[in-house]
Amino acid sequence: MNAEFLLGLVILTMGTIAAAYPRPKTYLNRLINIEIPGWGLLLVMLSYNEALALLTFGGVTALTTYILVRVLEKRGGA
Amino acid sequence: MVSEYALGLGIALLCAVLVFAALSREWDDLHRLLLVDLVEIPSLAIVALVGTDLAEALILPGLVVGIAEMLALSQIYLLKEGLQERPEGRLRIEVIEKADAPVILSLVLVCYGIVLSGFTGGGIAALGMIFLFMAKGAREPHELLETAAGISWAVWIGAFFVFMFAPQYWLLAVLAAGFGILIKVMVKLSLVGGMWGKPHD
Amino acid sequence: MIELEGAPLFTLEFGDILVYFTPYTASLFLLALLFTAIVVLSRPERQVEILFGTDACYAKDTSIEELRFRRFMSIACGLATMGAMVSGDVFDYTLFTALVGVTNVGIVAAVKSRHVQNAAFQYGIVALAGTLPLFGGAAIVVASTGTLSILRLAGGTAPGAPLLAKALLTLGVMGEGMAPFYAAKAEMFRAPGAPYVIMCSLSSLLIFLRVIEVVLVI
Repeated sequence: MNAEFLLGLVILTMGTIAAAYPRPKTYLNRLINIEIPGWGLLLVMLSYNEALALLTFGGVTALTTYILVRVLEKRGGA
Repeated sequence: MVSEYALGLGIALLCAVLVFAALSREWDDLHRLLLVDLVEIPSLAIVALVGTDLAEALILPGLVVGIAEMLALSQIYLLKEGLQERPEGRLRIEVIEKADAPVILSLVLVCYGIVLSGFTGGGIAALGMIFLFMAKGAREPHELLETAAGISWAVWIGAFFVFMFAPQYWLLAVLAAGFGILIKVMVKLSLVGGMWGKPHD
Repeated sequence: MIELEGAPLFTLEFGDILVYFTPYTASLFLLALLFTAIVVLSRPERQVEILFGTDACYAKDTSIEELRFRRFMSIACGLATMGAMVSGDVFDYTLFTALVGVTNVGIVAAVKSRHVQNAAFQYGIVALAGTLPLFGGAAIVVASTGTLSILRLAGGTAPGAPLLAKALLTLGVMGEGMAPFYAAKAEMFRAPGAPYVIMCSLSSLLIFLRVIEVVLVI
């Protein structure tokens, strides 16, 4: 139970609450808040030395964010 | 004292329940789409908690499935809302248009993709190139890129033949396969991304 | 396992990925294979709609490009179902089930009707939300027993999987197409073009039958 593991779990929980119930409830706000539990997950993976999964998850988050930003741009607002 | 795995599993399942509770109250489709992206994260956390090398091997297909579904669902969302035809707004930000920031960011992404190599590395390198094209509005030479993609795909297939018939050269085959698929995916995705905003002739 | 479905008749090994054919899984596999062959060989039917209040009716035709794309998606769904029917380890089964969910969305995505696309989107949301219990269940199986192979879990050389994992696996497959999550899938049937659309229903039925076997055996 080292520090990264516990910190990762804490950030995962707080980030999930922040992303599931964002204030104010706009699309952009929610999209940005989704990165927070991702960061917590990266810390958990770091504590188990899962390097390949960590790098790949970082990259896939970049791709998914690009796809969702494109949808948000086309949607136009709020 | 609670074991590490039990604590992690309990917290990940709690997060999953929170997200599902939020998903059940949501009526707006785009919010639902964003929330299922959020759902991926506790599921990957439960897989990562296994902690062995097997966990890495299980996480990667989970990520690929997640991104495939996100791509499909976002496309369907755009189709059903009738938003396909709207042009992508060019970002009117001075830092992007006049300064060197897009070049540096794209370079970082392309290098990261090359280090990662393989399919996901190709995707990230393509993201870097798409960012550069969208910021600068550059025209890219299609034929040269298509040739490069074709040759690298042949290299990838050749690497698999080397695995099957001449396994003593496995290191060469691994490097060739990784870079072959990297270049192919990078070129294809950046071509697709570059053409997304333009009307088809 | 022997009492439930008969002894494994045949196992096929691709390295350490195993597929096994018992009387039960072989019959499910043959059913999926037969239906995929039907999809390959048939043309879509024309959906006839009647104008409300009158006797006039019109038929909806499917254009060639739409046919090609939907047939490709149906064949992919059939192949994924065949893979899920005989796969010998829990994680491969969950991957094939997630693939079935994606291809089901693809089968109806090419239809130009707004209602069908809406239904496909809602179904896609439920299917993607269902991947959490699926992968979570497989991860709990490997964390608590140390193996993913169904033959080893059934044969008694590894401890049995915990109830939570079995419940999560079943919940995930129910999310792919069983009641009460079937509502969105039922709306997808308004898309014209049997047998492509019936592949959606058949695939979810077969993966549910297989998950019952997996859960009772591990």
